[in-house]
Amino acid sequence: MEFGRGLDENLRAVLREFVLTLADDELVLGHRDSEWCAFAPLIEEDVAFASIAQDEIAHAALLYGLLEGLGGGGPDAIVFGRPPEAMRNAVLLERPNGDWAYSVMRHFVYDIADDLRTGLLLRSGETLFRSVADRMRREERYHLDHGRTWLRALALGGPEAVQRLQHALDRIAADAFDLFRPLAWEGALVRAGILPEAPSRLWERFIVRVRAELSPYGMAFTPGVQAPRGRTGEHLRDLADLLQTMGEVWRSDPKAVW
Amino acid sequence: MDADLKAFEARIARGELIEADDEMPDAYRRQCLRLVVIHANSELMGALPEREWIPRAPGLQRKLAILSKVQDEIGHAQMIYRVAEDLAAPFGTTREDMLDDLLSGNAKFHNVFSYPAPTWADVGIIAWLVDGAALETQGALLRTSYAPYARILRRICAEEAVHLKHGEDIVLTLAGGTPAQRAMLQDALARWWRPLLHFFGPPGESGNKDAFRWRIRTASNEELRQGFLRKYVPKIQRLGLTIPDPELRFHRESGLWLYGDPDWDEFWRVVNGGGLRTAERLNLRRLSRDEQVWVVAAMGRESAA
Amino acid sequence: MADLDVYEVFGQERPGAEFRHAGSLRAADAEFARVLAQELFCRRSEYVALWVVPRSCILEAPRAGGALGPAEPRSYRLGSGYRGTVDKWKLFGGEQGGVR
Repeated sequence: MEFGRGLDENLRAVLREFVLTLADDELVLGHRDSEWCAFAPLIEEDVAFASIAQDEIAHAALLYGLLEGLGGGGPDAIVFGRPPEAMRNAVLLERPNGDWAYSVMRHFVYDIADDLRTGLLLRSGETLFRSVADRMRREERYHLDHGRTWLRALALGGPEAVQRLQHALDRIAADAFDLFRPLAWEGALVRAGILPEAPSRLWERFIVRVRAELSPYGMAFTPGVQAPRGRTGEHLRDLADLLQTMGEVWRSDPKAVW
Repeated sequence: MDADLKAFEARIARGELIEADDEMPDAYRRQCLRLVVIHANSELMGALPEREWIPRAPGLQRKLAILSKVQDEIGHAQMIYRVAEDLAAPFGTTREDMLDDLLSGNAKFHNVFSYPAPTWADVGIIAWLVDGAALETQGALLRTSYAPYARILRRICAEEAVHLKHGEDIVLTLAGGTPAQRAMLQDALARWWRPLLHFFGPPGESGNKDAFRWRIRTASNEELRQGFLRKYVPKIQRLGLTIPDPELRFHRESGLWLYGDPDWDEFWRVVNGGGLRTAERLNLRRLSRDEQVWVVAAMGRESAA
Repeated sequence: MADLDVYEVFGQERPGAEFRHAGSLRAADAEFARVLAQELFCRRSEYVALWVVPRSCILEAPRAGGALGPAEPRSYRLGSGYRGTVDKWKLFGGEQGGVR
């Protein structure tokens, strides 16, 4: 079954753009998560977080795989061959890891966003979207569980933990709108029956969900709309550095088999 | 020899296995603990050279595979430290004490994890040959008399066997790749060959006799090294790579591989903390521990509440 | 009967083997559970050792929607994910393996 079959050229381009937002988010976050490998706060946690990183990178691979039918080469060419301005991930996910509070809370907040977004895909008119979303969600449930456990531990973990937690949440809130900023091409996907509604409409539900998770601990989440614009390719220097590192070997000979 | 020790040695001689809660002489406990802690430290430190390549792996599948491999090594450290914690409990020693010991440079770990891994080919050589060497020693330890260690080693060996395939696949891909890829592979092999011979320890240095009498260890350094050479030298030669030892040859009469003196002074320098990357990697671990102190403290508070 | 607790029993079939779940029992306290477990599970010498654990101490780690682990096995974590090495060796001629 070919992804996006029967769609006109414009719609295929829009579809490609949309898949890139999903896949780039997962890739960049998975890469950041993997940077913790061997240095998480506890050996047991290290193993768990490395699995979460693999889940995200594997989801990215799955999503890039969808694009093969839309042109643009295989997953590796898409991942390693693009300049930063062609990346469609939210800036939130490219920020360096910071402390453990920032890393686990960024992941948790993103997981909530991802849960809403994959929920949207479950209602997609594209069969392949539905099956990919189903596979992703089976693993994302564990991510939510993991994030919630850390939220509890940090929120009840004494003054320093609480202060770091709130600081992390404030930084995350400042970037969060980028995840759901309305984009010019959303309407086309809804009109074509590929999406039941525009992803940007999830924004309010997202805030409600995040606040519901935080409310038992009296923690605040006050996002602004002055967030960065990663979805349209405006990225930080941090992403350029990340891509530089990520492609170091592959780009030494892109034609070689590695 | 007191009566308890005699009875214990009779158990060992009958081929019995020792469980964590069994009576055991302190000397046996200490011998086991020494071996197990070196193994745990090595798994933990062994993650560091390879982890440098997780962000750089050329390809998403390679990235997933190297990440999962390093994850497994950390997982091995977790299982082995758990065995060590139970062994050490009567001495009042905790995992934190063991890690402090490691980070202060007072504890040993395998020589190979003190060397740099400057290219992607190192990732292949480490996973294929260093893990191959490790599998040789760990396979022999499956027959150890300390049952909790033997049990986790079964899982560890199964996972190491997958790492080996992952390494073999990288090595084969580079060996069959461009001239530059082959040159990178040859260079990595040349750098790793001597540390690989060192890995098993000096010949004739059978360690503590008790470790063999009590079946904590079951194979000598040289037996393990010969097992490694028997398996891997022919494969390396088949790939057309050059092993940097002009004296290396198979001696038909004895069935042994003869090799040139690999400079055991370097081995001793490295295992005593003088390896090229020892200080840097220990420092990295220390920094990470210090940065996580607040997290560990927070976790304790929640369960105490 | 109401205040009897459930204990889960894990047995080791031979020295050095893993402990496997053998069954469960109800008992008034941990001492009873230990004593009763022996006769319930070892009367034909099935096990060389038993662990008796209050069920309330057992935490389950469920992943909703089925098995633990990823949604489908990750090939790079399995030996079978590297079957391609067989073909790659063919590039290098000869038989792989030990010295003859």
